Amino acid sequence: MTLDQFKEFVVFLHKKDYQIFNPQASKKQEGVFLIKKINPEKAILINQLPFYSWKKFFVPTKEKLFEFSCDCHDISCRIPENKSALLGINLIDLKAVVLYDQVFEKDPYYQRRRQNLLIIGHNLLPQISENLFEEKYEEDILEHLKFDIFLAQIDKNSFKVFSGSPLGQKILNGFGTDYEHIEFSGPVQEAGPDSRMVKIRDQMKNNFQAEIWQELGRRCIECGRCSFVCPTCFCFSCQDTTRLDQTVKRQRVWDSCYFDDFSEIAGGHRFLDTTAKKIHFWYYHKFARIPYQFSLLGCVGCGRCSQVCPAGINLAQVLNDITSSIITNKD
Amino acid sequence: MLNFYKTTKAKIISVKQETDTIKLFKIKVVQPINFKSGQFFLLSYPGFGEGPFAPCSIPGEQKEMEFAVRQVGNLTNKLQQLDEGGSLWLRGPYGHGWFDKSVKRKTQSEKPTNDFDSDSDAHTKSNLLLVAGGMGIVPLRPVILEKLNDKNTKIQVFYGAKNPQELLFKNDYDDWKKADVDLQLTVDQKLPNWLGNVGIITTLFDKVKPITDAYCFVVGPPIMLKFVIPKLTEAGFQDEDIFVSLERRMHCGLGVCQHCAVGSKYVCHDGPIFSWQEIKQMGTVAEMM
Repeated sequence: MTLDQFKEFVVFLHKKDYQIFNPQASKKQEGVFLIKKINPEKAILINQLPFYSWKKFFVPTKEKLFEFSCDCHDISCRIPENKSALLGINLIDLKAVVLYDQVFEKDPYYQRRRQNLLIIGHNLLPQISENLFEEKYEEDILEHLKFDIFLAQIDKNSFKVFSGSPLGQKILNGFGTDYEHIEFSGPVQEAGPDSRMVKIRDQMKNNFQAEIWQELGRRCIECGRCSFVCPTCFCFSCQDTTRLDQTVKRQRVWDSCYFDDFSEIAGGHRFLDTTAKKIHFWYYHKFARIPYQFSLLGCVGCGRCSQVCPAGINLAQVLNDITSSIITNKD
Repeated sequence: MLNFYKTTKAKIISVKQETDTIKLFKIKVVQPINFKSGQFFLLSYPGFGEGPFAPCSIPGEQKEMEFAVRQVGNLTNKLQQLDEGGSLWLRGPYGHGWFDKSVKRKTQSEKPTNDFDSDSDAHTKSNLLLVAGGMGIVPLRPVILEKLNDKNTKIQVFYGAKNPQELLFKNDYDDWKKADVDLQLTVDQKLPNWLGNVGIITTLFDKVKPITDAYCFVVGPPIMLKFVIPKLTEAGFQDEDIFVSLERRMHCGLGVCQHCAVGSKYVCHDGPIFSWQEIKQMGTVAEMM
């Protein structure tokens, strides 16, 4: 596919009723890229990491589950359908899709939304500081990623095109371009789970008392910014809101384990009652619980958390401390 | 696609004041629901959110269930305002029951499929020691009701509460004793007319010999576990034969929202029942004590 054909392709998608979302340069802040809904002619593919992740397309900030009221006998559940093309997800952010698909496997709201997403990945990688696990583009990794279409830039003016799903094939057939199909063969590589992941997982004991967590607990201010920007943070809480006409909307909203009432039970007891426990819980989720549950690393290595942390906590440094022998487990 | 967030309306057929702060609700649903002792439901009222509650009535395929509700917050305050004839909503059951975790493999040839199976002993225990502190008796009552007429199972209950007025299900005690349940009660503070044991629950271990060839199911506040577990070990109970019901905040009930996560497990999905051996493996003992 040439660059000109790419531009036509985006027009084609727009004509097929897809809303196009694409990282664009922020007008207000130089060097910052934000995911915006665009008209086809503005589409670009860049090697910059968008400031916020693509998470909200998979896990919305607020989502209505259903409506009901004291008087009604049954609940009404209408899940809206809007077709969205996520154009230009880089390899790092694409790794999060595999995780969302696993976590929300049995969720009807997620599955319906997912059916209406067109995921178009590309191989342009951001700078090394935002690429913690040093992901490199090789064709071999495509079979372990989930996408509908993948555009691998060969040179300034041309792309090699891949499809990764029946939907991707249908769209590309409709447009009329050469492409190769990649069949998803599971998130885990043939050689077995990533050895780096296994090492970190085994080093992460469920022990918040180790000095590393106590020290981080002194620095962290529990603002939760890391959980907002992180592509793999998907915690939510369920809330009821009552309208004036007494109908109640039950919805899911983003939550963060750094918030005070995250672990609070009836009677007021909180299990995560110190900062050390909270930050340990956050790291444990990504580097131990997700690996145990899905054999996936719960962190894509984008570095957004380190970028936004007001206390200057750097994830790469913490991982380094965990895997070296600095950590002492007091049991 | 199945929607596990979908909640069902239930009719309240009776409300009984058990103690000053606890009411017992009996509810009825249109389609029978099958649940096991130890599992829980997420009860809710429109506008007041959801909370996990373990039914305290006989398990199995039922159209009627009982729930004990203590007044502690927004949802429970609202529930306690409801009367007979009113409605509440529920979804479930969720989690593993007491007997899902404690039934052992009968033959050596069966390979363990779960990490809570012990390698050492293939023998299934016959009896039950139930240790309950305060509201802990609530998820244990279905066990008693289920096994009440089982001639092969001897049940011993150690139940402690703050004072005699806080003891729940008093109307059941005679029936239980008639069915040969060894019911041992204790209170922290006595009131006039109390003739039973006075002291924290561990004092019962000194006064009464704990039953043998038994699983032990324990439910109570973390501080109680801290003192009860050593007593159980002293009495010869192995870690894999002691089971605890954990309590955590819940939103989804499905192991997704992370609120109830402990180590690598979810209390809603992998629990709420865990063996003491599992709990030690979670590395959460320090946090609990």
